Formats: sequence, C-alpha cells, structure tokens
Amino acid sequence: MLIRLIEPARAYTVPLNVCSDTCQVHISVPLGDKYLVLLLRRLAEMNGQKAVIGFDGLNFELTELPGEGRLLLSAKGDSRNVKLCKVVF
Amino acid sequence: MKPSLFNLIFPESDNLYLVYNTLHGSIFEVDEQGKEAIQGKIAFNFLPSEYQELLTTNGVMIDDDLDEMKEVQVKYERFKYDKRNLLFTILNSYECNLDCPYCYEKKNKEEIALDVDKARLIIQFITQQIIKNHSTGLSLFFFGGEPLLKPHLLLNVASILRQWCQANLVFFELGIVTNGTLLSPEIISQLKEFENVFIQITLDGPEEVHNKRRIYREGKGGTYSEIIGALQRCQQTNFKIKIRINVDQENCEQIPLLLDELIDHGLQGSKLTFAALTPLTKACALYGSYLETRRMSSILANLWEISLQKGFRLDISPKATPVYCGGLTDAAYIIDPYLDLYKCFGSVGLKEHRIGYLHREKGFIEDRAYYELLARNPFHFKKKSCLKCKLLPTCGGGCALGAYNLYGTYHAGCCDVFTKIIEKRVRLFLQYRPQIDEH
Repeated sequence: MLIRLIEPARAYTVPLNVCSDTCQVHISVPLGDKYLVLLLRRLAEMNGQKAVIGFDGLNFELTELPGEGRLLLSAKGDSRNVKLCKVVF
Repeated sequence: MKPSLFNLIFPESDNLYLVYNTLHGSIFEVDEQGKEAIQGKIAFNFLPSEYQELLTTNGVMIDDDLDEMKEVQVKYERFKYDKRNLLFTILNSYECNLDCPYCYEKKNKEEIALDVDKARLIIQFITQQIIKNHSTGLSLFFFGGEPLLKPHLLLNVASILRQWCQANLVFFELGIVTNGTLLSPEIISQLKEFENVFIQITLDGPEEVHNKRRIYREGKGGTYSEIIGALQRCQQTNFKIKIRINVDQENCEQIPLLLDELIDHGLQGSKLTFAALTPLTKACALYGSYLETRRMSSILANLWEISLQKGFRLDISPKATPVYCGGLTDAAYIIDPYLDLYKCFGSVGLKEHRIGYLHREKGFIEDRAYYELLARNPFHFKKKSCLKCKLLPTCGGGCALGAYNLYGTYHAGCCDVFTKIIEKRVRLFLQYRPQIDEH
C-alpha cells in the first residue's frame, strides 16, 4: 500500500560542505518519486531563488545519479557564510 | 474513523491517484489500496500507524463523530470577521486617461476626484478602524479610474498612513492598481520610498491586439509601449508586480503571443494573473465579447500551463480561502471620491451595491447592502447545491456580485471558472510549485 503526503510542503534542513566557492546538498530522492523529481528540476531551473531559502547568489544544478537511485542538488557560489540549507518542497 | 466529505480523487497513470482534501488543502499520492483506505473500504485500524497519523493530521480521515460541515461553517465565519489585517482601497478618482471598450465605470467618469479635506476624513477613518480592531497590518490600495492621474494626493495619503503605522507598530503595504501609462521614472522613484509596494498593471494581448483595446481617451492611440516601459522600469525595483491579462472572446487566441513578447522584452518570470472578463453587473451589459464559462475554463487552464512552461509565475495555488474573496470579509473596504463605500471593484459607483458612506461627524454609516453582503452564508442559501459540493471549503459559495447579477440576490451560489478546473490547478501546482504563489 502506498500513501504518500505531497502537500503541505516538507522542509529539509541539511548541512552543507562549506568551502570557498562550492557546496553540495545531498538529498536522497527516489527517482520514482515523480513529483519530488519534477519539483527539484524546477527548483534547479529557477536557480533556487524561490524554493531554496537562505541562499543569495548561489546557483543550483541538479544531477540524476541513476546508479545510486537518487538526485544530487548542487549549489555553486560563495558559500562561506552559509552553514545550513533549508530546502522546502 | 471515516473519510472526509472533502476528498477529491484524481486518477493518475500506473494505478496511482492524487487525493486533494479541499478543507485542509492537503494532497496525497496513493495507490489502489491506498485509495480504498481513504474511501473507508479498508478498516482504519489495519493501516500502518504512520499512515493513520498522516491521514488524520491532514484531514483526509476524520473522527466518526466530527461534523465537518460545522467545521467549514466555523472556518468561514472566522475568516470573514478576521480583522488582523485590514485592506482599504481608495478610489481617488473615477477619471481615466484610457477608453477601454469593456470598462464598467464609463458612466462614472466624471471629473470628480478626492480632495485634501475628504482625504483627511479617510485617513481618520482608517486609523480609527485599525485601533478599534487591534489590527496589526494595513494594506492601502489605490484604484480608479486611473489612480496615478492624481499622484500627489495618493503619495501624501500613503505617506501619512505609513508614518502612522510605523509609529503604532502596524505593518504597512502600499498597492496601486494602475493602467501603467503614468508610471514615470519620477513616480517610481517616489514609490521607492515605501518598503512594501505592490503594483498591478493590465495588458490585453500582444501589441497589435492590446493597442486596439486599451487606448487613450484623447485619441493618441494604443498604450502598449508605455506599459512595457513601465514594467521594465518596475523590474529594477523591489516592488511586487502583477501583470493582469484580460481574457475574452476577442483576444483569447492571441494571449500566447503576448507571453512571447513579454519574454522578448525581458519580462520572463513576471507574475501573471489571467482575468476572465465576466458580466458582473448591469454596467457590464454594454460589452458583448464575454466567453461562456465552460470554454473560458479550458482556455484558462491552457493559458496557465503555457505560462508556467514559459517560466512565468501565477497565483493559482489550490489552497484557496474559505470565503470567495476579500471583499466578502469585514476587513476590506473601498472608498470612492464621494466618500461612498463599496465591497467590490466590480460594483464601484453602482448605488444598489453601495454599503454605506463616511459621515463627517458620525463616521461610517452602513447601508442595506453592507448587512446583506456580510450576512451572506452558503449554509443559508435557498438552493442547497453548495452544501453538496466538495469545493465548498475553497469557494464559500462563489461571487456575491455574480449571484446578484444572475438571481437578483447575494444569497445564492455562483460557481466561477476556477471550480471547473480544480484538477488541472492541483496538477499544475504540483508540477510547477516554485512558480505558483497563493492569492
């Protein structure tokens, strides 16, 4: 049986790998989770301006890792002052 | 436990279903068995505990003794009389520099405008209302005619009320519903003094179509290039901008072209709202190009999808409020230059819909329409069809003015185009959520 809540939106707070000009947010999202995958795609297309809170001036990219069965959301930019990323979806 | 009365189930591919609960706004994806559970065909106690919790906390399954209709009624009344945030719209002039064919205010286009003396009365009335209701937010909107024909008074009133709000720890927002032709660099620069500015500007189609409809009153032709210029200038500010696009029989097929033009003008990502031109009062009978509701529904759904695909933002979240619109709450008023009060932009200047007037000494004197509109409640309509509708928690019986136009009374249901395309709305919301805001 499958009963999966899509809305209200869930918020994930994940630590970043802090370095000078790049950071990566690893979110384990099953590739079969259609709406989440769609949403993350939109999020990456929009450079995270709307759906990712706490980042100004970072660009987001989304990579599918079918071998690992998950998506990788990468944020590129100056992340020195950013310790946590709140992703709302 | 029993299933909520307000679960809508939409089939997906691969034996999956979307479940949208209109009372709580929750959305689930379920399989065939999950659907049966939500329909009460599987004993609730047999469900895994995490599913039990998800379904109950999100209103999809409810206690056996809970009467959800009473819950809807309480939420409706609570929302109607929630005055924490007040919305006052000042119609500072019925005069307009445009001559659009569908304008329902044409009869009101007298050279009357607000003067300083009346503005003082309005400011006093607004501050008194904030104090009396312990409100913590004021949205001050200007509407017309064209409100920017009289910019100095507008800016003065806004400035005085902003200062008053700052001194009294009240959140202040300034909104202007304008045709955009007078949003000069000077006006924009003055508006930048305000922290929270919302501006709505209307376009009627691509340049060629727009310029045949939204034309200057004095015969100077179309307004498209001035409006695009204003939108581009606003883009350089932190104003919240909404482009309203009127849709009717004449322009509906050309709207996608407008979207491409907006992108060419660097306005991709703007927030749009599509407004179906609808005959709401007798004043609208002069115009004949309205679309029939069913056709309008499919056109709107199509325009939403195209806009989202092209990267625009929309205000079509399915999480609607229990009351159809702000005008039907006791927290929103429109005041015109005669100091007459109304509840809806569509009814301004029509005395039968006037809800009262501002008396110099006695303040707000209510008319019959005030009580008629606030007493409106879908639970008391003669026809009970709204009470059987799963969308009731999201529309509250629909538009009161539309009902009056159809049945001669506010106390009747009036379904609008959105109710016909709720499924599409939910699907687009899920697919394009970062681009979709609440109303």
